[in-house]
Amino acid sequence: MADEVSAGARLTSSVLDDDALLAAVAGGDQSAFAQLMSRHAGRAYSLAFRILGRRGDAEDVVQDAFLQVWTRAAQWQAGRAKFSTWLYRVIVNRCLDLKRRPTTTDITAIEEPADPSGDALQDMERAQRNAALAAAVAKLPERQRAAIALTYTTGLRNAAAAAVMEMSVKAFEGLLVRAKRTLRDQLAATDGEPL
Amino acid sequence: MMEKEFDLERDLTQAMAPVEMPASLQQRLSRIPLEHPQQSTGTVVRFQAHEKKMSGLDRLSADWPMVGTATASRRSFAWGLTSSLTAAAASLLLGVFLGANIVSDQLGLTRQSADQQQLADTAYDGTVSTDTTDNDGALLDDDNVAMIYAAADLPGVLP
Repeated sequence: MADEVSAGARLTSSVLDDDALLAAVAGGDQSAFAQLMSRHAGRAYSLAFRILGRRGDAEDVVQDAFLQVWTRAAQWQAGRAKFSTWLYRVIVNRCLDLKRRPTTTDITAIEEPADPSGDALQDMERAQRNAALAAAVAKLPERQRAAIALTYTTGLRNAAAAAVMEMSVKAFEGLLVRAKRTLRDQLAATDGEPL
Repeated sequence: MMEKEFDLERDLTQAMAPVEMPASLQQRLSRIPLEHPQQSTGTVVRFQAHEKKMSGLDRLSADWPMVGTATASRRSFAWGLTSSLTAAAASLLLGVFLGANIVSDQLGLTRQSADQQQLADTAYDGTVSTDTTDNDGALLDDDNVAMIYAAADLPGVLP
């Protein structure tokens, strides 16, 4: 009987929206927390990793964010904001804080995950191009890099990404344009020809 | 140009693609409910993205626990606002102090000039002389007359 109730709760939580899941988390529902985590932790980690370029720091940032979700879920006010917007904002702010601290890690040492599919030569060329682009992104100013990561890693539209970065859509678009211009210049200087 | 733009877009999409979350992080996140107690309801979480009507002061005083990580820009904003308010309060106090001094000085001058005017008016009425040298002169004249009467051996009573 208890298993049926638990299974029913899991089934219900799978179709609940984030606000409802947070309400359940506030009541100590660990399965709701797991559901929330499975929905958002992957993209949150990708965002942190693309901004920071270091896996360890990215993990710490995501853990810190989800720790706040668990401990302070009761303080959540439903309907006032999207959970993903809040979560990405926490991630971006924490990453920018970390980036401002002095570090001994090479900023261009971006780790790239292996891509097992496709032809070997094409894979190699694509990996080289991606590595060059990732290195160029790593040299961008912090906020420009965050804008690039929000757009191309999380797939947020400009309005949502601007809300995450707490700026107007126009300002965000300007940030993106400057970032792309810088990337083109950097890649042109590296390769001798623009993309 | 459009082709180059398309290439950059495509390459950015590939280079910035989401990465797989490490299993170690998955485990760390799964342990959170077991290792950390939840906080009771006390303050209401505010989400600034949907509070466009909030003023800067409201945003500063808003409860930020869920935001958690205050950015340097927020800290500098708070510092700037605090220092601005302090400077404004100091300026106001200084202005009030100087203004009070000026007003008190003007009141003193007005009172003095009013006294002088009153003195002049009474002197014009003949009740009081404003110049003591005139009184001295009158006394001096009386003495001279008395001396004349004395010299003439007349009773020393003035007419």
